[in-house]
Amino acid sequence: MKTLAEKLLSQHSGEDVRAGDILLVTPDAVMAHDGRLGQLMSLYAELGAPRTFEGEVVFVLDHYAPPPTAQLAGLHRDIREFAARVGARVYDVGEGICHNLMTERGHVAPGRVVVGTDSHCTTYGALNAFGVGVESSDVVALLATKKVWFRVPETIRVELTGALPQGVTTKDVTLWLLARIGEDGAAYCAFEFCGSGWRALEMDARFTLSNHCAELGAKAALQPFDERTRTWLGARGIVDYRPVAVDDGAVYVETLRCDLSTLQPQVAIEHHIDRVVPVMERAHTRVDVAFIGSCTNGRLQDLRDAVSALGGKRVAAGTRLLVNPGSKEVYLAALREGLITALIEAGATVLPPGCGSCVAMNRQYVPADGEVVVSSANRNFQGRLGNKNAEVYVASPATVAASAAAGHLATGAAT
Amino acid sequence: MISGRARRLGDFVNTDLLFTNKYDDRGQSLDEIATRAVEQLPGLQSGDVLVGGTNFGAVSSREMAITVMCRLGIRAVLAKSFSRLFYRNAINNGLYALVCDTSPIDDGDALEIEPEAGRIALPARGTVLDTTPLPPFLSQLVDAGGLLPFVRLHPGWM
Repeated sequence: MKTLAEKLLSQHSGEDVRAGDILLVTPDAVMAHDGRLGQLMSLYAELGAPRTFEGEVVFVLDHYAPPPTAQLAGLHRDIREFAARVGARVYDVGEGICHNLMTERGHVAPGRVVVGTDSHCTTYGALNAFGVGVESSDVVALLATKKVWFRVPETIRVELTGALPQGVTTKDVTLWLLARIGEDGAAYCAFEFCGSGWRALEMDARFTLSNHCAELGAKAALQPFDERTRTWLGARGIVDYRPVAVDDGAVYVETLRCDLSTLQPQVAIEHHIDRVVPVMERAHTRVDVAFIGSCTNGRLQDLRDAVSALGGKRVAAGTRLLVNPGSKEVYLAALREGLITALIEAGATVLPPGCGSCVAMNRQYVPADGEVVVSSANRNFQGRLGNKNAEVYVASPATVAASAAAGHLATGAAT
Repeated sequence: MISGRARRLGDFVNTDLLFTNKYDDRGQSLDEIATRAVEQLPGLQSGDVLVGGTNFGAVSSREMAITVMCRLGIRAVLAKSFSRLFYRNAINNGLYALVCDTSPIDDGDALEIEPEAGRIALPARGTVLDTTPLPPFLSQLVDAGGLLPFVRLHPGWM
Protein backbone atom coordinates (compact mmCIF):
# COMPACT_ATOMS: atom_id res chain seq x y z
CA MET A 1 0.00 0.00 0.00
CA LYS A 2 1.72 3.17 -1.18
CA THR A 3 1.01 6.84 -1.72
CA LEU A 4 1.34 8.17 -5.28
CA ALA A 5 4.65 9.78 -4.28
CA GLU A 6 6.01 6.49 -2.89
CA LYS A 7 4.90 4.60 -6.02
CA LEU A 8 6.33 7.05 -8.53
CA LEU A 9 9.65 7.36 -6.72
CA SER A 10 9.89 3.57 -6.24
CA GLN A 11 9.32 3.00 -9.97
CA HIS A 12 11.98 5.54 -10.92
CA SER A 13 14.64 4.37 -8.47
CA GLY A 14 14.22 0.60 -8.76
CA GLU A 15 13.89 0.44 -4.98
CA ASP A 16 10.92 -0.21 -2.73
CA VAL A 17 10.80 3.10 -0.89
CA ARG A 18 8.68 4.70 1.82
CA ALA A 19 8.26 8.23 3.16
CA GLY A 20 11.47 9.37 4.82
CA ASP A 21 13.82 7.25 2.69
CA ILE A 22 16.59 9.01 0.77
CA LEU A 23 17.20 7.69 -2.72
CA LEU A 24 18.59 8.39 -6.17
CA VAL A 25 16.07 8.80 -9.00
CA THR A 26 16.41 8.93 -12.77
CA PRO A 27 13.71 11.35 -13.99
CA ASP A 28 12.07 11.17 -17.43
CA ALA A 29 12.63 14.85 -18.18
CA VAL A 30 14.31 17.95 -16.78
CA MET A 31 13.36 21.59 -17.32
CA ALA A 32 15.44 24.69 -16.65
CA HIS A 33 14.39 28.30 -17.27
CA ASP A 34 16.31 31.48 -17.98
CA GLY A 35 16.00 32.65 -14.38
CA ARG A 36 18.33 29.81 -13.35
CA LEU A 37 20.31 28.96 -16.46
CA GLY A 38 22.97 31.61 -15.89
CA GLN A 39 24.28 29.92 -12.74
CA LEU A 40 23.53 26.48 -14.20
CA MET A 41 25.75 27.10 -17.24
CA SER A 42 28.63 28.27 -14.99
CA LEU A 43 28.32 25.18 -12.78
CA TYR A 44 28.17 22.91 -15.85
CA ALA A 45 31.38 24.42 -17.20
CA GLU A 46 33.01 24.11 -13.76
CA LEU A 47 32.14 20.41 -13.41
CA GLY A 48 33.34 19.75 -16.95
CA ALA A 49 31.57 16.38 -17.26
CA PRO A 50 29.56 15.72 -20.45
CA ARG A 51 25.82 14.94 -20.56
CA THR A 52 25.03 11.26 -20.13
CA PHE A 53 21.36 11.79 -19.13
CA GLU A 54 19.17 10.26 -21.83
CA GLY A 55 15.82 11.79 -20.83
CA GLU A 56 14.35 14.98 -22.28
CA VAL A 57 16.12 18.26 -21.51
CA VAL A 58 14.02 21.40 -21.98
CA PHE A 59 15.11 25.04 -21.61
CA VAL A 60 12.51 27.81 -21.49
CA LEU A 61 13.09 31.55 -21.92
CA ASP A 62 10.14 32.91 -19.93
CA HIS A 63 11.29 34.82 -16.84
CA TYR A 64 13.38 37.53 -18.54
CA ALA A 65 11.06 37.55 -21.55
CA PRO A 66 11.17 39.78 -23.47
CA PRO A 67 14.68 40.60 -22.16
CA PRO A 68 14.70 44.08 -20.58
CA THR A 69 18.46 44.72 -20.95
CA ALA A 70 21.26 43.96 -23.39
CA GLN A 71 22.91 41.86 -20.67
CA LEU A 72 19.83 39.64 -20.33
CA ALA A 73 19.43 39.40 -24.11
CA GLY A 74 23.02 38.16 -24.03
CA LEU A 75 22.05 35.56 -21.43
CA HIS A 76 19.35 34.32 -23.82
CA ARG A 77 21.90 34.10 -26.65
CA ASP A 78 24.25 32.10 -24.38
CA ILE A 79 21.39 29.75 -23.42
CA ARG A 80 20.55 29.05 -27.10
CA GLU A 81 24.22 28.18 -27.75
CA PHE A 82 24.44 26.04 -24.61
CA ALA A 83 21.22 24.20 -25.59
CA ALA A 84 22.71 23.30 -28.96
CA ARG A 85 25.83 21.93 -27.21
CA VAL A 86 23.98 19.75 -24.68
CA GLY A 87 21.11 18.76 -26.97
CA ALA A 88 18.31 20.58 -25.14
CA ARG A 89 14.98 21.61 -26.64
CA VAL A 90 14.51 25.42 -26.38
CA TYR A 91 11.20 27.27 -26.08
CA ASP A 92 12.11 30.82 -26.97
CA VAL A 93 10.81 34.21 -25.79
CA GLY A 94 7.04 34.51 -26.24
CA GLU A 95 6.25 30.79 -26.47
CA GLY A 96 4.93 30.83 -22.93
CA ILE A 97 5.56 29.89 -19.31
CA CYS A 98 7.68 26.80 -18.66
CA HIS A 99 4.93 24.93 -16.79
CA ASN A 100 2.35 25.54 -19.55
CA LEU A 101 4.83 24.35 -22.18
CA MET A 102 5.98 21.27 -20.24
CA THR A 103 2.37 20.11 -19.93
CA GLU A 104 0.92 21.30 -23.27
CA ARG A 105 3.83 20.02 -25.40
CA GLY A 106 3.99 16.48 -24.03
CA HIS A 107 7.06 16.61 -21.77
CA VAL A 108 4.93 15.68 -18.77
CA ALA A 109 2.68 12.61 -18.84
CA PRO A 110 1.06 10.35 -16.24
CA GLY A 111 3.47 8.10 -14.36
CA ARG A 112 6.53 10.24 -15.10
CA VAL A 113 8.98 11.94 -12.76
CA VAL A 114 9.86 15.40 -14.08
CA VAL A 115 12.22 17.82 -12.32
CA GLY A 116 12.80 21.49 -13.04
CA THR A 117 14.48 24.59 -11.65
CA ASP A 118 11.28 26.06 -10.32
CA SER A 119 9.18 25.59 -7.20
CA HIS A 120 5.98 25.49 -9.30
CA CYS A 121 6.96 22.19 -10.95
CA THR A 122 4.29 20.89 -8.55
CA THR A 123 1.94 21.78 -11.47
CA TYR A 124 2.79 18.45 -13.16
CA GLY A 125 1.00 16.58 -10.39
CA ALA A 126 -2.27 17.52 -12.12
CA LEU A 127 -1.22 15.08 -14.87
CA ASN A 128 -0.51 12.28 -12.38
CA ALA A 129 3.24 12.93 -12.64
CA PHE A 130 5.74 13.59 -9.84
CA GLY A 131 6.78 17.15 -10.66
CA VAL A 132 9.30 18.67 -8.28
CA GLY A 133 11.48 21.75 -8.08
CA VAL A 134 15.24 21.33 -7.86
CA GLU A 135 18.13 23.72 -8.46
CA SER A 136 21.05 24.36 -10.78
CA SER A 137 23.50 22.01 -9.02
CA ASP A 138 20.92 19.22 -9.16
CA VAL A 139 20.42 19.67 -12.91
CA VAL A 140 24.16 19.76 -13.60
CA ALA A 141 24.69 16.58 -11.54
CA LEU A 142 21.71 14.96 -13.31
CA LEU A 143 23.03 15.77 -16.78
CA ALA A 144 26.38 14.20 -15.85
CA THR A 145 25.25 11.20 -13.75
CA LYS A 146 21.58 10.55 -14.78
CA LYS A 147 20.52 10.85 -11.15
CA VAL A 148 19.08 13.27 -8.64
CA TRP A 149 18.73 12.69 -4.88
CA PHE A 150 15.43 12.95 -3.02
CA ARG A 151 13.91 12.31 0.34
CA VAL A 152 10.59 10.52 -0.21
CA PRO A 153 7.94 12.93 1.11
CA GLU A 154 5.17 12.18 3.55
CA THR A 155 1.75 12.82 2.02
CA ILE A 156 -1.16 15.00 3.11
CA ARG A 157 -4.42 13.79 1.57
CA VAL A 158 -7.02 16.38 0.60
CA GLU A 159 -10.56 15.13 0.04
CA LEU A 160 -12.77 17.51 -1.91
CA THR A 161 -16.55 17.10 -1.90
CA GLY A 162 -19.40 19.24 -3.25
CA ALA A 163 -19.29 21.62 -6.19
CA LEU A 164 -17.66 25.06 -6.43
CA PRO A 165 -20.23 27.88 -6.36
CA GLN A 166 -20.28 30.29 -9.31
CA GLY A 167 -17.37 32.77 -9.13
CA VAL A 168 -15.37 30.47 -6.82
CA THR A 169 -12.41 28.55 -8.27
CA THR A 170 -9.64 26.17 -7.25
CA LYS A 171 -7.53 29.27 -6.45
CA ASP A 172 -9.97 29.79 -3.61
CA VAL A 173 -9.30 26.19 -2.57
CA THR A 174 -5.54 26.74 -2.28
CA LEU A 175 -6.15 30.05 -0.48
CA TRP A 176 -8.43 28.12 1.91
CA LEU A 177 -5.63 25.59 2.46
CA LEU A 178 -3.17 28.44 3.12
CA ALA A 179 -5.54 29.92 5.71
CA ARG A 180 -5.97 26.50 7.27
CA ILE A 181 -2.37 25.20 7.52
CA GLY A 182 -0.16 28.23 6.74
CA GLU A 183 2.59 28.94 4.24
CA ASP A 184 4.83 26.19 5.61
CA GLY A 185 1.99 23.82 6.44
CA ALA A 186 3.13 21.24 3.89
CA ALA A 187 6.91 21.73 4.07
CA TYR A 188 8.73 18.66 2.65
CA CYS A 189 5.32 16.98 2.06
CA ALA A 190 3.40 15.88 -1.00
CA PHE A 191 -0.31 16.48 -1.43
CA GLU A 192 -2.67 13.90 -2.87
CA PHE A 193 -6.15 15.00 -3.97
CA CYS A 194 -9.26 12.83 -4.12
CA GLY A 195 -13.03 12.88 -3.74
CA SER A 196 -16.17 13.59 -5.76
CA GLY A 197 -15.43 17.32 -5.71
CA TRP A 198 -12.01 16.67 -7.22
CA ARG A 199 -13.40 14.40 -9.98
CA ALA A 200 -15.73 17.16 -11.19
CA LEU A 201 -12.88 19.63 -11.73
CA GLU A 202 -11.82 20.51 -15.30
CA MET A 203 -8.11 20.19 -16.15
CA ASP A 204 -7.32 23.92 -16.03
CA ALA A 205 -8.75 24.04 -12.50
CA ARG A 206 -6.63 21.01 -11.57
CA PHE A 207 -3.44 22.66 -12.84
CA THR A 208 -4.12 25.68 -10.61
CA LEU A 209 -4.63 23.37 -7.64
CA SER A 210 -1.33 21.50 -8.03
CA ASN A 211 0.57 24.63 -9.01
CA HIS A 212 -0.40 26.79 -6.06
CA CYS A 213 0.41 24.03 -3.54
CA ALA A 214 4.01 25.25 -3.90
CA GLU A 215 3.02 28.17 -1.66
CA LEU A 216 2.27 25.71 1.14
CA GLY A 217 5.86 24.48 1.01
CA ALA A 218 4.88 21.28 -0.84
CA LYS A 219 7.36 19.19 -2.76
CA ALA A 220 4.70 17.70 -5.05
CA ALA A 221 0.92 17.90 -5.44
CA LEU A 222 -0.36 14.72 -7.03
CA GLN A 223 -3.74 14.00 -8.55
CA PRO A 224 -5.25 10.73 -9.75
CA PHE A 225 -5.64 9.93 -13.45
CA ASP A 226 -9.11 9.80 -15.00
CA GLU A 227 -10.99 10.30 -18.28
CA ARG A 228 -10.58 14.08 -18.08
CA THR A 229 -6.81 13.65 -17.89
CA ARG A 230 -6.89 11.23 -20.82
CA THR A 231 -9.05 13.56 -22.95
CA TRP A 232 -6.86 16.60 -22.24
CA LEU A 233 -3.69 14.71 -23.17
CA GLY A 234 -5.32 13.04 -26.19
CA ALA A 235 -6.30 16.45 -27.61
CA ARG A 236 -2.56 17.23 -27.68
CA GLY A 237 -1.57 13.92 -29.23
CA ILE A 238 -0.10 12.58 -25.97
CA VAL A 239 -1.09 8.91 -25.72
CA ASP A 240 2.00 6.98 -24.61
CA TYR A 241 2.09 6.81 -20.82
CA ARG A 242 1.36 4.62 -17.82
CA PRO A 243 -0.79 6.23 -15.12
CA VAL A 244 -0.33 5.39 -11.45
CA ALA A 245 -3.37 4.47 -9.36
CA VAL A 246 -3.95 5.29 -5.70
CA ASP A 247 -3.72 2.31 -3.31
CA ASP A 248 -6.37 1.77 -0.69
CA GLY A 249 -4.73 1.83 2.71
CA ALA A 250 -1.74 4.03 1.88
CA VAL A 251 -0.41 5.90 4.91
CA TYR A 252 -1.04 9.66 5.06
CA VAL A 253 0.22 12.05 7.73
CA GLU A 254 -3.10 13.87 7.67
CA THR A 255 -6.38 14.04 5.74
CA LEU A 256 -7.92 17.46 5.17
CA ARG A 257 -11.53 17.69 3.99
CA CYS A 258 -13.12 20.56 2.11
CA ASP A 259 -16.75 20.87 1.01
CA LEU A 260 -16.30 23.05 -2.08
CA SER A 261 -19.90 24.28 -1.94
CA THR A 262 -19.14 26.15 1.31
CA LEU A 263 -16.23 28.21 -0.10
CA GLN A 264 -16.45 31.87 -0.98
CA PRO A 265 -14.02 34.03 -2.96
CA GLN A 266 -10.88 34.70 -0.90
CA VAL A 267 -7.91 37.00 -1.17
CA ALA A 268 -4.40 36.88 0.30
CA ILE A 269 -3.74 40.40 1.54
CA GLU A 270 -0.47 42.29 1.41
CA HIS A 271 2.90 40.64 1.97
CA HIS A 272 1.89 37.16 3.24
CA ILE A 273 0.23 34.50 1.10
CA ASP A 274 -1.41 32.90 4.13
CA ARG A 275 -3.03 36.13 5.35
CA VAL A 276 -6.26 35.11 3.69
CA VAL A 277 -9.65 36.78 4.16
CA PRO A 278 -12.98 36.64 2.30
CA VAL A 279 -12.87 39.19 -0.54
CA MET A 280 -16.02 40.90 0.75
CA GLU A 281 -14.25 41.79 4.03
CA ARG A 282 -11.85 43.97 2.03
CA ALA A 283 -14.28 45.28 -0.58
CA HIS A 284 -13.29 48.89 0.18
CA THR A 285 -9.68 48.33 -0.99
CA ARG A 286 -8.81 50.45 -4.04
CA VAL A 287 -7.22 48.57 -6.95
CA ASP A 288 -4.68 50.35 -9.17
CA VAL A 289 -3.49 47.39 -11.23
CA ALA A 290 -5.28 44.11 -11.88
CA PHE A 291 -3.21 41.27 -13.33
CA ILE A 292 -4.43 38.03 -14.89
CA GLY A 293 -1.77 35.52 -15.88
CA SER A 294 1.07 33.37 -14.45
CA CYS A 295 1.66 29.62 -14.30
CA THR A 296 -1.01 29.52 -11.60
CA ASN A 297 -3.85 31.24 -13.46
CA GLY A 298 -2.98 32.05 -17.07
CA ARG A 299 -4.93 29.24 -18.78
CA LEU A 300 -7.96 29.28 -21.05
CA GLN A 301 -10.52 28.70 -18.28
CA ASP A 302 -8.96 31.58 -16.34
CA LEU A 303 -9.52 33.94 -19.27
CA ARG A 304 -13.10 32.64 -19.65
CA ASP A 305 -13.66 33.29 -15.93
CA ALA A 306 -12.26 36.80 -16.35
CA VAL A 307 -14.54 37.66 -19.28
CA SER A 308 -17.51 36.21 -17.46
CA ALA A 309 -16.73 38.18 -14.28
CA LEU A 310 -16.37 41.41 -16.29
CA GLY A 311 -19.89 40.74 -17.54
CA GLY A 312 -19.57 43.27 -20.38
CA LYS A 313 -18.45 46.06 -18.02
CA ARG A 314 -15.41 48.21 -18.73
CA VAL A 315 -12.36 48.48 -16.50
CA ALA A 316 -12.90 51.26 -13.92
CA ALA A 317 -11.36 54.67 -14.58
CA GLY A 318 -7.90 54.84 -12.98
CA THR A 319 -7.47 51.04 -12.86
CA ARG A 320 -5.31 49.13 -15.34
CA LEU A 321 -6.09 45.52 -16.30
CA LEU A 322 -3.16 43.47 -17.62
CA VAL A 323 -3.64 40.05 -19.19
CA ASN A 324 -0.75 37.65 -19.80
CA PRO A 325 -1.88 34.44 -21.55
CA GLY A 326 0.26 31.55 -20.23
CA SER A 327 1.29 30.26 -23.64
CA LYS A 328 0.68 30.62 -27.37
CA GLU A 329 -1.74 27.69 -27.17
CA VAL A 330 -3.80 29.58 -24.60
CA TYR A 331 -3.48 32.85 -26.53
CA LEU A 332 -4.68 31.33 -29.82
CA ALA A 333 -7.56 29.46 -28.18
CA ALA A 334 -8.63 32.67 -26.42
CA LEU A 335 -8.48 34.56 -29.73
CA ARG A 336 -10.67 31.94 -31.42
CA GLU A 337 -13.22 32.11 -28.62
CA GLY A 338 -13.36 35.90 -28.78
CA LEU A 339 -12.02 36.25 -25.24
CA ILE A 340 -9.11 38.48 -26.24
CA THR A 341 -11.44 40.82 -28.14
CA ALA A 342 -13.76 40.97 -25.13
CA LEU A 343 -10.86 41.72 -22.78
CA ILE A 344 -9.40 44.44 -25.01
CA GLU A 345 -12.81 46.01 -25.54
CA ALA A 346 -13.23 46.07 -21.76
CA GLY A 347 -9.98 48.07 -21.55
CA ALA A 348 -7.39 45.36 -20.86
CA THR A 349 -3.81 45.44 -22.12
CA VAL A 350 -2.72 42.04 -23.44
CA LEU A 351 0.93 41.17 -22.82
CA PRO A 352 3.00 38.46 -24.53
CA PRO A 353 2.97 34.90 -23.10
CA GLY A 354 5.58 34.47 -20.35
CA CYS A 355 6.02 34.98 -16.61
CA GLY A 356 5.42 38.70 -17.15
CA SER A 357 3.82 40.60 -14.31
CA CYS A 358 3.72 37.66 -11.90
CA VAL A 359 7.32 38.31 -10.96
CA ALA A 360 8.27 41.43 -12.95
CA MET A 361 11.72 40.05 -13.79
CA ASN A 362 11.22 41.46 -17.28
CA ARG A 363 10.40 44.85 -15.67
CA GLN A 364 7.25 44.87 -17.78
CA TYR A 365 4.98 46.58 -15.29
CA VAL A 366 6.55 47.57 -11.98
CA PRO A 367 3.94 49.25 -9.74
CA ALA A 368 4.44 52.74 -8.31
CA ASP A 369 4.96 53.45 -4.59
CA GLY A 370 1.70 52.98 -2.69
CA GLU A 371 -0.11 51.24 -5.53
CA VAL A 372 -2.27 48.19 -4.92
CA VAL A 373 -2.01 45.29 -7.36
CA VAL A 374 -4.58 42.50 -7.30
CA SER A 375 -3.09 39.53 -9.06
CA SER A 376 -4.12 36.06 -10.16
CA ALA A 377 -0.49 34.96 -9.73
CA ASN A 378 0.94 33.03 -6.81
CA ARG A 379 2.99 35.23 -4.45
CA ASN A 380 2.56 38.56 -2.74
CA PHE A 381 5.55 39.15 -0.49
CA GLN A 382 6.96 42.63 -0.18
CA GLY A 383 9.01 43.41 -3.28
CA ARG A 384 7.61 40.63 -5.46
CA LEU A 385 6.85 43.04 -8.30
CA GLY A 386 10.11 44.97 -8.05
CA ASN A 387 8.85 47.65 -5.64
CA LYS A 388 8.67 46.98 -1.91
CA ASN A 389 6.48 50.06 -1.49
CA ALA A 390 3.61 48.50 -3.45
CA GLU A 391 1.07 46.01 -2.14
CA VAL A 392 0.15 42.79 -3.94
CA TYR A 393 -3.10 40.92 -3.23
CA VAL A 394 -3.57 37.42 -4.65
CA ALA A 395 -6.95 36.07 -5.75
CA SER A 396 -8.68 34.12 -8.53
CA PRO A 397 -9.00 35.47 -12.10
CA ALA A 398 -12.74 35.93 -11.50
CA THR A 399 -12.05 38.10 -8.44
CA VAL A 400 -9.28 40.02 -10.25
CA ALA A 401 -11.50 40.80 -13.26
CA ALA A 402 -14.49 41.80 -11.11
CA SER A 403 -12.15 44.05 -9.08
CA ALA A 404 -10.79 45.66 -12.27
CA ALA A 405 -14.33 46.56 -13.33
CA ALA A 406 -15.24 47.88 -9.87
CA GLY A 407 -11.97 49.75 -9.22
CA HIS A 408 -11.89 48.14 -5.79
CA LEU A 409 -11.85 44.53 -4.52
CA ALA A 410 -14.98 42.72 -5.66
CA THR A 411 -16.03 39.14 -6.31
CA GLY A 412 -17.09 37.47 -9.52
CA ALA A 413 -19.71 35.56 -7.55
CA ALA A 414 -23.43 35.84 -8.19
CA THR A 415 -25.04 38.32 -5.79
CA MET B 1 33.06 22.40 15.19
CA ILE B 2 31.78 25.70 13.80
CA SER B 3 32.18 28.78 15.99
CA GLY B 4 30.49 32.00 15.08
CA ARG B 5 28.41 34.94 16.15
CA ALA B 6 24.61 34.81 15.83
CA ARG B 7 23.04 37.22 13.37
CA ARG B 8 19.41 37.15 14.39
CA LEU B 9 16.70 37.39 11.70
CA GLY B 10 12.94 36.87 11.93
CA ASP B 11 10.43 34.38 10.56
CA PHE B 12 9.90 33.81 6.81
CA VAL B 13 13.27 35.17 5.73
CA ASN B 14 13.03 35.59 1.95
CA THR B 15 16.51 34.79 0.68
CA ASP B 16 15.50 35.77 -2.87
CA LEU B 17 15.05 39.35 -1.68
CA LEU B 18 18.18 39.47 0.49
CA PHE B 19 20.78 37.37 -1.29
CA THR B 20 20.03 37.28 -5.03
CA ASN B 21 19.49 39.59 -7.96
CA LYS B 22 16.10 38.09 -8.74
CA TYR B 23 14.12 41.24 -7.97
CA ASP B 24 16.85 43.77 -8.58
CA ASP B 25 18.76 44.32 -11.80
CA ARG B 26 21.05 47.10 -10.58
CA GLY B 27 24.06 44.82 -10.53
CA GLN B 28 24.32 41.19 -11.50
CA SER B 29 27.84 40.24 -10.42
CA LEU B 30 28.33 38.20 -7.24
CA ASP B 31 30.28 41.10 -5.70
CA GLU B 32 27.44 43.53 -6.37
CA ILE B 33 24.84 41.12 -4.99
CA ALA B 34 26.96 40.47 -1.89
CA THR B 35 27.34 44.23 -1.32
CA ARG B 36 23.55 44.65 -1.53
CA ALA B 37 23.03 41.82 0.97
CA VAL B 38 25.29 43.53 3.52
CA GLU B 39 23.48 46.84 2.96
CA GLN B 40 20.20 45.12 3.80
CA LEU B 41 21.65 43.29 6.81
CA PRO B 42 23.86 45.93 8.42
CA GLY B 43 26.74 44.57 10.49
CA LEU B 44 26.84 41.18 8.76
CA GLN B 45 30.37 39.77 9.09
CA SER B 46 32.35 36.87 7.77
CA GLY B 47 31.99 33.89 10.11
CA ASP B 48 28.46 34.84 11.23
CA VAL B 49 25.77 32.24 11.75
CA LEU B 50 22.35 33.28 10.44
CA VAL B 51 19.56 32.54 12.91
CA GLY B 52 15.94 32.59 11.75
CA GLY B 53 12.55 31.45 12.94
CA THR B 54 10.05 29.47 10.88
CA ASN B 55 10.21 28.84 7.11
CA PHE B 56 13.70 30.24 6.54
CA GLY B 57 14.21 30.76 2.79
CA ALA B 58 10.45 30.95 2.20
CA VAL B 59 9.16 30.29 -1.33
CA SER B 60 11.40 29.75 -4.34
CA SER B 61 14.78 30.24 -2.63
CA ARG B 62 17.39 30.45 -5.34
CA GLU B 63 20.66 28.58 -5.16
CA MET B 64 22.38 31.89 -5.88
CA ALA B 65 21.42 33.00 -2.33
CA ILE B 66 23.58 30.24 -0.84
CA THR B 67 26.43 31.07 -3.23
CA VAL B 68 26.31 34.65 -1.96
CA MET B 69 26.08 33.55 1.70
CA CYS B 70 29.15 31.36 1.28
CA ARG B 71 30.95 34.25 -0.39
CA LEU B 72 30.13 36.44 2.62
CA GLY B 73 31.66 33.82 4.91
CA ILE B 74 28.42 32.60 6.53
CA ARG B 75 29.19 29.22 8.10
CA ALA B 76 25.80 27.87 9.09
CA VAL B 77 22.10 28.74 9.22
CA LEU B 78 19.88 27.81 12.17
CA ALA B 79 16.09 27.97 12.03
CA LYS B 80 12.94 26.43 13.49
CA SER B 81 12.06 25.27 9.95
CA PHE B 82 13.35 25.75 6.42
CA SER B 83 11.65 25.99 3.04
CA ARG B 84 12.47 22.80 1.15
CA LEU B 85 14.43 24.47 -1.63
CA PHE B 86 16.58 26.48 0.77
CA TYR B 87 17.34 23.32 2.73
CA ARG B 88 18.16 21.39 -0.45
CA ASN B 89 20.38 24.17 -1.77
CA ALA B 90 22.21 24.41 1.55
CA ILE B 91 23.05 20.68 1.46
CA ASN B 92 23.98 20.91 -2.23
CA ASN B 93 26.42 23.71 -1.45
CA GLY B 94 28.04 22.39 1.71
CA LEU B 95 26.33 24.88 4.02
CA TYR B 96 24.99 23.55 7.33
CA ALA B 97 21.27 24.26 7.69
CA LEU B 98 20.21 22.96 11.11
CA VAL B 99 16.74 22.78 12.59
CA CYS B 100 16.50 23.73 16.26
CA ASP B 101 14.47 25.87 18.63
CA THR B 102 16.14 29.19 17.91
CA SER B 103 14.03 31.19 20.42
CA PRO B 104 16.78 31.37 23.11
CA ILE B 105 19.37 32.79 20.68
CA ASP B 106 19.90 36.55 20.69
CA ASP B 107 21.67 38.70 18.14
CA GLY B 108 25.41 38.67 18.84
CA ASP B 109 25.43 35.44 20.91
CA ALA B 110 28.58 33.33 20.48
CA LEU B 111 27.66 29.89 19.13
CA GLU B 112 29.56 26.60 19.02
CA ILE B 113 27.97 24.14 16.60
CA GLU B 114 28.74 20.42 16.30
CA PRO B 115 26.56 19.23 13.42
CA GLU B 116 27.47 15.53 13.67
CA ALA B 117 26.70 15.44 17.38
CA GLY B 118 23.50 17.45 16.93
CA ARG B 119 24.69 20.03 19.50
CA ILE B 120 24.51 23.83 19.43
CA ALA B 121 26.08 25.48 22.48
CA LEU B 122 25.79 29.06 23.77
CA PRO B 123 28.84 28.93 26.08
CA ALA B 124 28.34 32.39 27.62
CA ARG B 125 25.00 31.21 28.98
CA GLY B 126 25.73 27.57 29.57
CA THR B 127 22.85 26.62 27.26
CA VAL B 128 22.91 23.70 24.81
CA LEU B 129 20.29 23.31 22.06
CA ASP B 130 19.57 19.97 20.40
CA THR B 131 19.39 19.53 16.65
CA THR B 132 18.74 16.40 14.61
CA PRO B 133 21.90 15.39 12.76
CA LEU B 134 21.58 15.09 8.98
CA PRO B 135 20.93 11.62 7.53
CA PRO B 136 24.29 9.95 6.70
CA PHE B 137 24.09 10.36 2.91
CA LEU B 138 23.26 14.07 3.17
CA SER B 139 26.12 14.51 5.67
CA GLN B 140 28.44 13.05 3.05
CA LEU B 141 27.27 15.68 0.54
CA VAL B 142 27.82 18.53 3.01
CA ASP B 143 31.19 17.17 4.11
CA ALA B 144 32.34 16.91 0.50
CA GLY B 145 31.59 20.63 0.13
CA GLY B 146 28.31 20.10 -1.69
CA LEU B 147 26.71 18.05 -4.46
CA LEU B 148 29.03 18.88 -7.35
CA PRO B 149 32.26 18.39 -5.36
CA PHE B 150 30.76 15.05 -4.22
CA VAL B 151 29.90 14.02 -7.79
CA ARG B 152 33.42 14.95 -8.90
CA LEU B 153 34.85 12.62 -6.25
CA HIS B 154 32.19 9.92 -6.75
CA PRO B 155 30.93 10.00 -10.36
CA GLY B 156 28.94 6.81 -9.68
CA TRP B 157 27.45 8.34 -6.47
CA MET B 158 29.10 5.56 -4.39
